[in-house]
Amino acid sequence: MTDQTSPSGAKPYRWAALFIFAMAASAAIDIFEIVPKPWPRVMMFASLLLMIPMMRSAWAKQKDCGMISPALISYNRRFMIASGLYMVCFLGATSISKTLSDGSELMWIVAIVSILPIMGMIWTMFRYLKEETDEYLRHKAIMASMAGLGLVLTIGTAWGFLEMFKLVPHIWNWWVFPVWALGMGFARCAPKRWFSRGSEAEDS
Amino acid sequence: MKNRLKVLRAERDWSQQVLADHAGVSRQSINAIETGKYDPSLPLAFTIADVFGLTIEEVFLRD
Repeated sequence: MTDQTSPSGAKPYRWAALFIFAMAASAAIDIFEIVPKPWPRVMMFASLLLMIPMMRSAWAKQKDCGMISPALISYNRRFMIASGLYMVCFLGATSISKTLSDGSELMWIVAIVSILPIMGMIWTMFRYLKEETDEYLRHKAIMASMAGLGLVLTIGTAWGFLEMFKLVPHIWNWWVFPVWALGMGFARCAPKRWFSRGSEAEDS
Repeated sequence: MKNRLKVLRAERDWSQQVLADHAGVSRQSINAIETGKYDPSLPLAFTIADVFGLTIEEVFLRD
């Protein structure tokens, strides 16, 4: 018997690149008013559908790599639901907010609705760490989470100092979650030796 | 920590997946342990040794 399972040929990075490109293109079309409203928003919502093949491909890749567990399956499902809700709520809220008066009760509701899916994602991560019985996968998840946190702290601190010296503009603080998730995602894809303690063994 | 997982698997004609299924962990965990990139906890080391029907010292070795 061999150590390798037959690969599914899944290419989640291509789907991820396509998703990011579609979202960025939709945003650019919206900002530069290339097509009349509400078509840019329609394009953004349509781009969200790319999340489905992207996540399916990522799951197939995880299965190919032998890093799948019941807890990870639950985590993937919960995270995808929360991500989808976040995108819908965020895009919906930014669209609706333009029609509302500043500081109104409805504005508070719209703002809180956008925040709830983010809380859902953080809760999903917490649940995964609690439910994962495979200690190596849990170790990787914790290290990836720490890498994401490190990225947020580095960028946040550096930006804060640059802003203090009036070298860069002020930015809204909601960037922390996407950057944390991005750092975590990159760290999860990092080679195993990044998380080891200086072993000289090679990947097999 | 060194280990004899690869040799012990080969003796039994087991893939990493078979060993992973017996030990109740993912194949990537077995791969990481076997290649020395991750040192298992004591409970997991006992489980792996039990799967082979050996003692921990017969599976895992000091560096």
